[in-house]
Amino acid sequence: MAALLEACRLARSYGEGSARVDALRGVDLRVERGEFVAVMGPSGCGKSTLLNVLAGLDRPSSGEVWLDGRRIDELSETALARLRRRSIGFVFQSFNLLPTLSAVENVELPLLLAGRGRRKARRIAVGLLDELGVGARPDAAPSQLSGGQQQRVALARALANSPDIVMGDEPTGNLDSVASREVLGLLAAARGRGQTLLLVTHDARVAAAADRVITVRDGMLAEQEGLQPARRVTLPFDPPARS
Amino acid sequence: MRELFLALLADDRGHGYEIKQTLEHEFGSVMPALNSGQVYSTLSRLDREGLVVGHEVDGDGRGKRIYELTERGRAALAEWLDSPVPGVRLKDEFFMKFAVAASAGLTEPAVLIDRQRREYLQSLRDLDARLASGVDKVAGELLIEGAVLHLKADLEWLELIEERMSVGVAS
Amino acid sequence: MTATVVKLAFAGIRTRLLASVITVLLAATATSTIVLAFEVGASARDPWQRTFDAANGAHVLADVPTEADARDIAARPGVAEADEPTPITTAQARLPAGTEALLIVGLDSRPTVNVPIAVDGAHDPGAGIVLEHSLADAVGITVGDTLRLQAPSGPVDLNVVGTAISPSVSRYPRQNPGLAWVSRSTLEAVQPDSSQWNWLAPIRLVDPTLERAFADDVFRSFPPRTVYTITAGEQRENTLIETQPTSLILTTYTIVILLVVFTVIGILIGARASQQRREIGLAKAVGLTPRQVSTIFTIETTTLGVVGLLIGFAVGVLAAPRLAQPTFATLLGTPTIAPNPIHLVVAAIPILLVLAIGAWVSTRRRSRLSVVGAIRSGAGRPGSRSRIARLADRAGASLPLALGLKDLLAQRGRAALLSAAIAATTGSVVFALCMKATLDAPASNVVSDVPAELPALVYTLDGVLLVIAVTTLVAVTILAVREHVRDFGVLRTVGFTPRQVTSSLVSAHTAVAVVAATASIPLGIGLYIGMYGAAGGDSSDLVIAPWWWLGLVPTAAAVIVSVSTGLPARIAARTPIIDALRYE
Repeated sequence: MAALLEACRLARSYGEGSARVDALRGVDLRVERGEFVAVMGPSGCGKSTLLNVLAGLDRPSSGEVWLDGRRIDELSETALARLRRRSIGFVFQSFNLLPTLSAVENVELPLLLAGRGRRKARRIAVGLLDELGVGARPDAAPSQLSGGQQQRVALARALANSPDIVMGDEPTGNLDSVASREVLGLLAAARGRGQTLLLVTHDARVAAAADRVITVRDGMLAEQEGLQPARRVTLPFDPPARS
Repeated sequence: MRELFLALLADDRGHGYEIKQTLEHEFGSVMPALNSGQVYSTLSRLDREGLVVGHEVDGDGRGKRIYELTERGRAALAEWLDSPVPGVRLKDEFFMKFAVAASAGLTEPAVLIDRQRREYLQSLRDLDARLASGVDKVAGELLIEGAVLHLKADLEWLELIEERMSVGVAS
Repeated sequence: MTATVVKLAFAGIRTRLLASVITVLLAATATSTIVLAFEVGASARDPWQRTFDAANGAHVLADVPTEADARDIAARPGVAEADEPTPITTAQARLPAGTEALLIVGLDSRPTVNVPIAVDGAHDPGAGIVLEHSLADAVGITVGDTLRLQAPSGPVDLNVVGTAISPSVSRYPRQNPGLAWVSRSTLEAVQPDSSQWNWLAPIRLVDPTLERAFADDVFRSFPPRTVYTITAGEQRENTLIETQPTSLILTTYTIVILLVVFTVIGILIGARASQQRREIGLAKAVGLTPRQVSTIFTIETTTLGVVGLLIGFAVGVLAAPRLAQPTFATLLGTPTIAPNPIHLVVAAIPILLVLAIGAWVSTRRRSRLSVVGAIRSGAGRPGSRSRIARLADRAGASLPLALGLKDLLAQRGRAALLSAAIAATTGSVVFALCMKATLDAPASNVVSDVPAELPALVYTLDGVLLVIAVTTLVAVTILAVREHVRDFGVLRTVGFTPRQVTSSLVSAHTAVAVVAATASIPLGIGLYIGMYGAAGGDSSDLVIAPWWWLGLVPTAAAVIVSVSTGLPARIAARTPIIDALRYE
């Protein structure tokens, strides 16, 4: 069965001659539908470049990217924009909510772009905000929300059109550990509903929640690890097991 | 261990079996189960050292003794409370394994690290699952979060070791 | 620390070159109109006196029904010098534009008081005719042409032998009918009926200060409406009134331009200060006090203002003679350049005050933010709910337009200032269109009251305003784009196409411009009506520009705004997304 996202021999370099930097050097990657894949690696290893190329935000120097059977690395900017409306949701480290729009207006945006009517878009947006636990103040400006709340709104925006895949670049990077945990929980819940996730992260906790962890080193994929289902953890004050 | 006993007696004097019960209840799965004999021998030792003092209780046919802290006991307890737990911990099981195996050429260092990394990630997953299934005590939550943070640090350390290795620093 | 503060101020000017240039341009324009308004009036005063002296002007000039009356006046006490009475009558003359009435004065011999001063050709009409200089200029007759006068016996063709000026004659067409000198015999030939003649009695007094009393005396001693007197003082006033329409236009445009200056400076300062919010935070972190930060900014702006002032003063002083030139059609000599520094000071006061205060106030407000607040506020603006934006939303505006309006109107101050600047500019264009409509009005046998150089002045000033408006629009768009680069990147990751991104910026600014331009139409018309009345124009001649001309104004505004905002917007929309997102 064809993978949802597939990359073949991806390469991306910047600059010329002696100043040339090879950010990606021949990366092959598959993400199946419904998978949660985490991408880790030391800083400067090229993981952000990889994500940008996979999301169509950057063009590879060579290689191919296929999303749901369609080749996307050669699409025009306009076609890519349309693709992003329906197929790719994005979550950023710095949230990137539009400051002049309220929370619900931010979430509505992809819905309106996809052609939904105003009222329907508003309804869906409000519902999403409620689901993610930030429905209390839909008309608040982003600057009035905490980091964790902003990221939840951003996640709602990414999920608005039920995209094929949600991609994130350090989604918990700017959050404290409590907010991190909450956002991770929401991501896991989305995954539980069948949402495909591809997240770049240096947060090991996020990686631990993934089905598969890909490590990038020096522009190449190093290893891909799948983890087992969770084993039982006993706390000191749990009643001792009677064997 | 001894300080535990002192702490447990700080509030109120107590019978030996009360102490045993409390120990089992609070720390049952962390410590090996203590039998009554071990409890009482510890109490006697503390008595000999003058940190606790035991009284015969009249009217209790079984002749159990009630123990309470002495002044010296309180002082010892206070000192224990005042002294912070040592911070420098240079003993790490993985590191010992790594150092020995790498220098003796017993196994590929990279493979060792990978396996350990996977174990750490798995442990993270286990801890998060435990959190998700509910912890009724705040202390429990904090304990788990502490373990998570230690694991994150260990993972970072693994990366550092890997980096240094690739630069060619002999172990 | 002072040296550092000054150095930082000048560094600021260098880095924001476009905004600095606009500031200088605005200050210069405002200064030149203020200076021109003063200088044009002043440049005429002395030359009149020279002309009066050279003509041995009449302290009192009386126009009476009979020759005996004229001699009577000449014999009164207090008269130092009087000339022989000269007959004056009207005749129909065939001018290039059509047949018109002409006042002809019959000279018997060379006059001694109120002597016409030859400009071209001869002063003695002889068998021909000497035209008053501004009349000849206005109707296009030169020395050597033939002028046909209607006489009862038939047409009389006269050779134009010269043009002359006289201090008692106002500039044609204010002086209407125009004046010409002929010989006594020619006048008798043109108008044999002496009962149709009036007589001029030019009087010089022993004590010129009594001219008013003397003139009143003469006036009272005759039946009402039979005599006309004019004193030297009134003659001078008439000449100076020449400059009045020009001064009026200049004053009005000064006010309009000052309005534009204030709005545009407000926008520029607001935009620079918001860009500097982050820098202010960093500067404060480095150790500059809020007061020093405000000082830097104020020095920057005021310096630019001073540069603009000096340029504007030079322009005003150099242009004043050119503007006053037409007035000199009735005066001896050419307008002199006598730059009065007082005018520079008067111009400097409002301009520098506004610049300095505006700069100080807007930075004080921002530098009082805490360091962190300042740094963070550089990253985004508060999401204020704008009623207009919500209205547009509900009215079904397209998504890019709705978003663009929200962004634009979120900065309420800037949106208001931009609208005001556009309205002021388009209002001036409406004003010019009305003026053109009035001038083009059919009545071709009536010579228009409006001096010929006025439209040129108005068009020039409008041109300057347009240049300022377009430059400001480009600058504002560049600023808006710089502030929005990151948001554009985010929009594109959510699925906006580059064209939609461009459109959000362009359509919002265009919509605002069209609204402002439309609102300015009644304002411009009102201004024109008011000005026309203040300049003493006849309201029956007033014509307002037709609706299809006026309709062009918002249309042109839309086109100009689309073009000037389009290019920077398009460039921004095509910035690679990952670069846009990294922008701060």
